[in-house]
Amino acid sequence: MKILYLVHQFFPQFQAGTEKFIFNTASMTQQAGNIVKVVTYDCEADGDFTSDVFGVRSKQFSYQGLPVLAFQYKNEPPDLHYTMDKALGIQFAKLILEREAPDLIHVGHLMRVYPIVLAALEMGIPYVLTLTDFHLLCPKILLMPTSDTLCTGPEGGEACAKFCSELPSFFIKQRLALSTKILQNAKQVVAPTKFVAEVFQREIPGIKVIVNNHGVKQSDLRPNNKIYGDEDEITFGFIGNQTVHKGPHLLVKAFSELNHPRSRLLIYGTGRPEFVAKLHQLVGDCNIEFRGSFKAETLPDVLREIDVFVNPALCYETYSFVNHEALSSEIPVICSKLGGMFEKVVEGKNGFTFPAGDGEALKQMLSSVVESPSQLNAMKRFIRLETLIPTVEQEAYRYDQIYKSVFR
Amino acid sequence: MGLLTRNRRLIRKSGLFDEKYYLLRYPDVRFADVDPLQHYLTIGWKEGRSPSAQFNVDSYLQTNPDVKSSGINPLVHYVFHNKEDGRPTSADTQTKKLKATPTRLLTWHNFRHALKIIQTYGLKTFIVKAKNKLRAQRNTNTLDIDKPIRIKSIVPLSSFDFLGDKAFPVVPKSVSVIIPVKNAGDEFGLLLKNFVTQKGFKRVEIVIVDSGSTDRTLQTARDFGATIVEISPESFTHSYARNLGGEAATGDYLFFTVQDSLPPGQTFLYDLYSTLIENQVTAVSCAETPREDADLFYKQICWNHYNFLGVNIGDRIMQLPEKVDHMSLRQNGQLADIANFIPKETFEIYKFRLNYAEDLDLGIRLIKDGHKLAFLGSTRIIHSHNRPSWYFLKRGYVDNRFLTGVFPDFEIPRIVVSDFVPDISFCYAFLGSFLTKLNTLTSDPVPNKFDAVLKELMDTLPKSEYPGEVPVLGENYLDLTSQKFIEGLIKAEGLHKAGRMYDGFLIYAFSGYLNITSNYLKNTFETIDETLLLDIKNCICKSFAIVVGAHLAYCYQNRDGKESLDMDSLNKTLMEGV
Repeated sequence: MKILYLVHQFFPQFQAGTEKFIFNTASMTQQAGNIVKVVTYDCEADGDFTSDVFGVRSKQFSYQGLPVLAFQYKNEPPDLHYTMDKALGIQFAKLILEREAPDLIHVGHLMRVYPIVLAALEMGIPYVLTLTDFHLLCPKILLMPTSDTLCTGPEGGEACAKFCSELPSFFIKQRLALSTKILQNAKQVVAPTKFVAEVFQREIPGIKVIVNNHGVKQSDLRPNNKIYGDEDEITFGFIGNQTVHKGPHLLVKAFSELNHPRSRLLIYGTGRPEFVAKLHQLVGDCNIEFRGSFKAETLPDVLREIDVFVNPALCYETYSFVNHEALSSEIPVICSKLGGMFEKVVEGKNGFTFPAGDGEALKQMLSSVVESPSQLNAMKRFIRLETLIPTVEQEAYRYDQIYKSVFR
Repeated sequence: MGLLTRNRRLIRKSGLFDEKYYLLRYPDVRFADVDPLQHYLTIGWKEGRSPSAQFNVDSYLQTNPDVKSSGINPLVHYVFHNKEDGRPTSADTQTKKLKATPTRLLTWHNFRHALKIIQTYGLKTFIVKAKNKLRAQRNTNTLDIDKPIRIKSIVPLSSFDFLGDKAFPVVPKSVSVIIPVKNAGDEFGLLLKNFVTQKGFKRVEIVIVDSGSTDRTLQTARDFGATIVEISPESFTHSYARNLGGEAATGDYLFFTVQDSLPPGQTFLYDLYSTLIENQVTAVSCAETPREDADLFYKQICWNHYNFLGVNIGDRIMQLPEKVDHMSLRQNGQLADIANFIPKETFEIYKFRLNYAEDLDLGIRLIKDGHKLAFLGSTRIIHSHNRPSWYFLKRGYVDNRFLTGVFPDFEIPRIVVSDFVPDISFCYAFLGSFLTKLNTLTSDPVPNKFDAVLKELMDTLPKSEYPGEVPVLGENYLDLTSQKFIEGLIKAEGLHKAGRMYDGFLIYAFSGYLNITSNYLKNTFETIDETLLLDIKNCICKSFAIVVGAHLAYCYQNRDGKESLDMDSLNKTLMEGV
């Protein structure tokens, strides 16, 4: 079987969660004896392209054994990241599908690369779609009408008209109609969490969404076997972009107000200079270290230093790899009760959740941990015995079954 | 002027590239002994490295997402376009007073972008978008920290009933999962967790048979409430350990597996049970799906084995074939230790025998007694090992010792060690040439080229002579133990045909085995890159090892006591640890 994996961006230029998911799934599918290829968009200006047809430049390369075809529109539209204009790149898309002749397409993200699916629809090529975010429902992708509000879906465009009035209603309606067509014609729609499945099923009645959690690379992780006494120092950790919607400011403020001598906070990741500057201003004389970015392969070392992982995101995380990598390393998690990221957190058993944006509640949780670190022992035991986080093999296995079901 | 040359001049002129800083901060560049600016221009900026303390690439890209998506070197972008706009450059300057937001938005790029948005969506859209952008900037600057997140919704999300939580049916039966263990490692807990949470049965029991673990294996098993049977390391045999586990088990059904497997999902055992009941078979096994880190050799031998069993394209019900020989019995009597689901009462009648291939032996006994078995390819258990060539050399040996011992119809080739070791010597030299020749694969990277390279070398055979000295492998893809073993054999017995034209057979057996690699490559890859080439070379060495081991087993079977090599010592070495 030949399977094309479609994703809006890919390694080595980008290495976020969706890219990781596509890489893992395509690699596992390849090793199961299938021919695979990743089709993606190239965001580099000097992309070293080798082909130029129908107004689209492209090139082929290999990333860690995976063949990749990357393309770029010669004249990028201003709304490249959210347009679903039916004419854009469609001839190129058909040419690619004729040349590659896939048996199946697995869509990881449609931003910029959606013409391939429109061509597949016309050519009768089946596709499976994984909902890695809300791009199909929301031109703003995150269901965030503004930087401090969230919505729960377009409600057929009514919510967009009400909360995002800058988006013309004709555009929203056309876009939603096309999204609905793409979703309804998928052979299978898959979501990484129940939350994402709910949002889409609620918006588009009748579509069936299977939940298949993303898998973590268990071979890369090591369990944190520390045993805690009540006088031990506790290291909290944050890993992620330092942006408002990831909420690091909430954590830094809560931690600095707590200012407990037996606690430390490690912040990994980078962000906009204005925002990072503000974060630094909040630190005061607290034990907070800004560690910057780190290479993916050093994640186990980063996690080894962390006793409790904190994810104070203010937006809907559709899954959050890092929450699940922390849990897989037997590290309790404190996170916002929002989106799909807290579905594996059992309150008080393997972590805590707090209302998104509630700094006071977060501070109380941090305080509870540093006042009584020994409670972490029971939490780690609960994680070890009862918290099931799928591995990449388990996730890929389920996809393999889904692919086979398409041809049954 | 080339782009790189232009960028180099721009950056040099800007004074924002600090060679000393770059070399001190990035020791790999220092050790690589390359021009630091050239490194930064070609690789460094793409890896997010900072050219100086005054300019932080990550921060600049976060601040300027347009630059990130444009794929332009951020320092070049800054120098060429925006220095005059006062875009912040460094983490150090992040703590200084911030520039006014409106100034930074008034760039030529943004102006063109705005025009296009107005053309496409209208003026109203542009105005509201611009207002939102400014408001977002203001929010960032003021950081209203304790402001709760408002969720806007016309219909509350909680009113939606999720379809995926339907209860899974439970049968009034229990299953005992039996695992022989010894130092099962960090992932043992994950395995047990995935078994105790299996759905569909009233109870899932874990029984481990430990033969001397010194790590956390026993504690982990206790944590999961497992029944523990302890035996001494010396008393361990594959059958003995499994039989003890089966006897200690209290479930209606037994599931035998190994310590490094992993069920693919929570209904795995139920799938095997359903197969057993619906197809009225006596036992059910399934294929394995390799772990994400499995090497090419393991993947190809799995693929080849399941092609042999006929389960790569579906499931099979197996029974005693009409024509009974060692091939048909192996194809129809296969049960697998990694996943063997069997009723307790059936197990108690048959149990395991032998210390090797006890799973195949059980399957053959069952079909000979008229039972049917199922072997599933659609349901698989996660399992694989990345083992060195030395393991596969021994594995090839032990496999053939078993086959020749158990199947009376298995024809033993008439190979004697004094002829065979010079053959190893010749093939060892061939292996070295083949590995070197394979470097040409990436220049024309199609899997068919693998065959072409092999054929080219095979065509030279009629003119080739046995080597006069121990060949040098050149590339170290064969592990040192295997190299030492093979070179020891060659020194002892492998050079007495030096200078004679090659008249052996091992090369043909080896190239026949390489057909598996060739077919797997053609089935799975369209191109061969550097990563795959390394994997191919390792795979070829393991193939060589397994073929050598298999043929040494025939030499042992054909021994007459007159060999100059100590065949019993050779046998002992190769039988150990598999």
